[in-house]
Amino acid sequence: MQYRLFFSLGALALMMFSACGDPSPAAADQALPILGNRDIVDGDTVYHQIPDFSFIAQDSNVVNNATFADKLYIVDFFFTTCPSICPTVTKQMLRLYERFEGEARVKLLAHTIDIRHDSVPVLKRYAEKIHVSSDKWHFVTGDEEKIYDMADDYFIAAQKDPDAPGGFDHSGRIILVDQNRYVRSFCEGTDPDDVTRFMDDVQKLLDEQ
Amino acid sequence: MSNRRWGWGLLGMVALGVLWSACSYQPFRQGEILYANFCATCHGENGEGFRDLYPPLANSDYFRENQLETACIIHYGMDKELVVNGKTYQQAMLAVTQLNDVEICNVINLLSYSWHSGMKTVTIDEVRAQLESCSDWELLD
Repeated sequence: MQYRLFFSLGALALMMFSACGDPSPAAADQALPILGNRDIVDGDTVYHQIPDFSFIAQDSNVVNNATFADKLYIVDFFFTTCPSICPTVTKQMLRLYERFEGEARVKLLAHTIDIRHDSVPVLKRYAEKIHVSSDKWHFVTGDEEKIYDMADDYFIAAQKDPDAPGGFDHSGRIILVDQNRYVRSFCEGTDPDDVTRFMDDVQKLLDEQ
Repeated sequence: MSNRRWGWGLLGMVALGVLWSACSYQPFRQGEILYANFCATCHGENGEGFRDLYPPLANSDYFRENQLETACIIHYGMDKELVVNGKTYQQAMLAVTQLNDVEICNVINLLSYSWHSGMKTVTIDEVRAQLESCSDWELLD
C-alpha cells in the first residue's frame, strides 16, 4: 500500500517536473524562427530587420552594420554604474563571450544607455577590467536617441527613469541577430538557465551557416 | 512497528536539521539578507568580487583596514581608485540609498563576521559617528 503511494507520488512529481521543462521539445529539430512583426509586400513576406546604425566603441572606433557583416551578433543594453540587473547580465554575456571566444563568426555588442557617464574611456576601462577583447565584444556609445531607438528594434525596453536604481529602467534581455539583420533568438540575461538554452540557439544558427 | 520506525526517522531528520542550522548559524541575519539584495550582484554571492571590475568583500585587506569607512562608501557611493589585495579598482559605485544606518551597521558586521576572521564587529553608535564624519562626501546616485 505504502509502496504504491510512494510510486504514484513519484510519478506525479515527475509529471509536474517535466511539465515545467521545455515547452516545445519538438522545436529542437526546427530552424530558428525570424522574430518580430512581418508584412506581406507584393506577395512576399517581409521580416523585421535591424536598421542602419553607427556608434563609437571602446577603442574610439566606429561600429556599424558593416562590423557585423557575415557575423552573428549578440546584443544587450546596460550602463557601467548600474546597481541592479546589469552586473548579472554582464556576467551572462561573459559566459557567451567565453563559449564563443574561438568562433570568429560570433560577436557581442553592448550599448550603454547612460551616455552622460559612460564615455569612450569609461567603456574602455570597463572592457579592460573584465579582460575581454575589443575585437570580439564592442561596448558602444553614441547619439542618445538613436541608442534608445535601436533598443526598440532589438525588442529591448530601455528608458530614463529617475525613480529606478541608477536612473534608468531597462530589461536584461539578450538578443541574437543573424547576418541578414534578422532577430533569431533571445533570452532573459538575468536567468542563467535561459542563457544556456540561448547558447544552444547560437550554436544551432552557426551550424546552419 | 511501522509507527516506531517513522518516529525514529522523524527524530533523525530533526537532529540533522538542528546540526545543519548549528553549522550555518551566523548572528547577522538582516545583514545577510541585505547583502544578497543590494551587494551580491556586483560583489558576488560569497564576496568574491568580479574580475578586476568589482573588488572582493571577502578576505579584503581594504575592508579590514577601513571597516568603518565602508559605511560612508555604502551611504554615499564612491568614484575613485581603490587598491584591494594589491589590485587597483576604478569602477564607480552608486550610493545604496535604500539602507539606513542600522542596516549599514548590520551589513558591515556580516562582512566582518563571515569573511574576515578575527575581526571585531562595530556598534550602531560607531557607524553613526562615522557617517557624521563623512557628511561632506558627494552623494553618487
